[in-house]
Amino acid sequence: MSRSRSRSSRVGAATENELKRLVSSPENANKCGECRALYPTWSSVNLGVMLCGRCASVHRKLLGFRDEGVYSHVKSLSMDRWSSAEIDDLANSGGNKRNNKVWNAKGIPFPFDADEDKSTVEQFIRDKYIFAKFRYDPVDPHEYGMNGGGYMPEGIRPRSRSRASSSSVGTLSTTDRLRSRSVGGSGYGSPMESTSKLTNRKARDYELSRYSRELRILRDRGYPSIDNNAEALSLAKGDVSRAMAILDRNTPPPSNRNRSGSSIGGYASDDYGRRSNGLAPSPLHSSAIRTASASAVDTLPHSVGQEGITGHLTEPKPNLPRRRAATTGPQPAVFDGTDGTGDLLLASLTGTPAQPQPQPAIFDGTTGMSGTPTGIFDGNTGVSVQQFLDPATGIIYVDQNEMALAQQQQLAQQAQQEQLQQQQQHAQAQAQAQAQAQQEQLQLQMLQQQRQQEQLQQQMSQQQMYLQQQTNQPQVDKNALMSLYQRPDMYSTPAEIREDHPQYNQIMQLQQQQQMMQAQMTQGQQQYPMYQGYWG
Amino acid sequence: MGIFASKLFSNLFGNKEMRILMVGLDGAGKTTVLYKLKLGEVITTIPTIGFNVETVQYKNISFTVWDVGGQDRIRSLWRHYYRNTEGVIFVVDSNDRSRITEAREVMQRMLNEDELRNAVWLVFANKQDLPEAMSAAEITEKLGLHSIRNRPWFIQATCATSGEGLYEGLEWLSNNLKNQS
Repeated sequence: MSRSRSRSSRVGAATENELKRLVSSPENANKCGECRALYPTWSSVNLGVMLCGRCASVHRKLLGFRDEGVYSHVKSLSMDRWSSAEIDDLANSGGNKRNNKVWNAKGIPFPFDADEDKSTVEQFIRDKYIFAKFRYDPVDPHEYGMNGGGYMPEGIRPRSRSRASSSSVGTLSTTDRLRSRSVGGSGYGSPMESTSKLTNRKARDYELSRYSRELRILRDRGYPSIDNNAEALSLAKGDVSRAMAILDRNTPPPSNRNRSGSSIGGYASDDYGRRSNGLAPSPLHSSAIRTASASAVDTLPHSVGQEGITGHLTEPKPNLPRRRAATTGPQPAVFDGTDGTGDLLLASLTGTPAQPQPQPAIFDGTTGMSGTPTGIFDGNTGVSVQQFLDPATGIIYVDQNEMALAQQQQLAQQAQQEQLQQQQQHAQAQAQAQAQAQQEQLQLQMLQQQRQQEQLQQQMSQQQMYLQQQTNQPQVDKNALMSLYQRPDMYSTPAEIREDHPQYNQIMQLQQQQQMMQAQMTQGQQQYPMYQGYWG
Repeated sequence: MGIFASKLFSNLFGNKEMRILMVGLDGAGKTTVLYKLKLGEVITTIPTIGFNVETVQYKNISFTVWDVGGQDRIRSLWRHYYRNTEGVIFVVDSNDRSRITEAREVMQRMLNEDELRNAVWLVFANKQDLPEAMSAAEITEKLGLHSIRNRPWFIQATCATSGEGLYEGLEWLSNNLKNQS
């Protein structure tokens, strides 16, 4: 493995330089060809355009199907391996400049959107490449592959129209077989008869890209609904005249029925490699028994055998989880490696019953959670300091500003109390001094009291200095505080957990466990050389 | 002690954990699978640089699924995730006939990794909604799954955008976890 890596890195250095030169060439100017963002890291090989990450994802989503329709071969400049042919294609494509000249002859500006919504970008890419709205001349299908013959690596069977006829001979393609089975349920009927009804579903992206030419033809011939057109074309396997026939037959649209064509949930093979160990296959998977009995790899009866286990597929499945509403309070920002078992940990340590739902990792030291070891700062009773338990590291963070505020308040209270005491003492002393002045006898007492007063003044000045030191700490800014709660990574230092804390041992244990679990989960991640060595 | 206690608790309640590594060629749909399982939504993914990790709860088993990027040159980083992996989900783009041999090579190389010798093997034949998609049987043949002798394996036809087949795959994984321990 290491040998192949070193070889690839040697090759990679040359290709890296070549790609670097390409991306900073004048026609690309180190910009994304769609949105003009700086420093693109992706590119479409056949369309000859540099792409930023966002535009690359949209390309991959909308144009990512290797087929004879619109196709964008998205490759990472840094993370993919490039063949010299691909680099040549990219170099000879003319870059962003030519791409925009061809595909965006009208100079339609890129739709910048303030929010992260990609739908406008998707619409732009769709219009630009699939519908070719931004150009004056019609699209030559060869343009999807800049090097003439279409950008089709070997191994792709060009989907010829003769496939439909070949399927009528009897050698059904697997897709046809599956579709006819899952739609009709009647075995090997003719797929055309069983699926020539339109369902009024939405057109899928791959259909738009694959049948872009045919869709334009249909639109020109007066079939307005692009969804229906796409579906009809899909059913007719790209044959425009047959699609028109289907569309004509379906002009009054039938009631919306569920399309079951995608329900290919079959278990094709269930061969337990360990059955020599006496591991009995689960009774659910009857096809496993079938493979166990059949020695040869026989796929055809195999897929027929799926009929036997579709009962299993129809049993109630758990609903896919819904995203929780955003109003349920702050969510933990970090991946919780324990996923709820932290509650179990807490429960096992403290004896309190486990919370049914993992709580957000912000604990208020005063809100009745005294049983949990996270209420550490109970030294300041009455003053709440919010703490943030980082579940990844187990370190408990405290907002420094708020802590300073709390300490300040506490000190201010103490100072007030002491001032009151001093005033009382002072009043006593004055009363005594008056008595002395009246009696003028007990001068010794007077001297003592003066000393006491001096001492008190010293103490007071010391305390004032201490207070000043404390108040030198940063003032609390409410906005900054709020922003801190959104950004737990802004917390400055972890809080010290004092050894005299009653739950000190439990907290340390918890932290150690979390660190151990984290270490288990992130093994190898620390030596993760993601960005090293690609661009030198 | 705490770990023991937590394990005791989780065993009492029937909770189990399983560490899953999800790999496959770039653009196979790994991230879409992961977030369909986690959120029940189809998100527009960007090509994964690095990894995503989520826990997915299914029938008392919490699957910790690591989804690592599949670009050619970052595949060598997969080995950092091999240790303690109990199950591998290998996601295949069923529609991509030109790269199925590449997928086979990548997969066979992983099958020979020593650190993965105890991992059960689940293959997701993804993108089954596309009309030209290869069937699971075809992919079984092209990946050479029948030659796997030393571990349980399973192939599941899926469609990550509709969610079909995903839970069947988890079901198989959960059954297999029970068999192992």
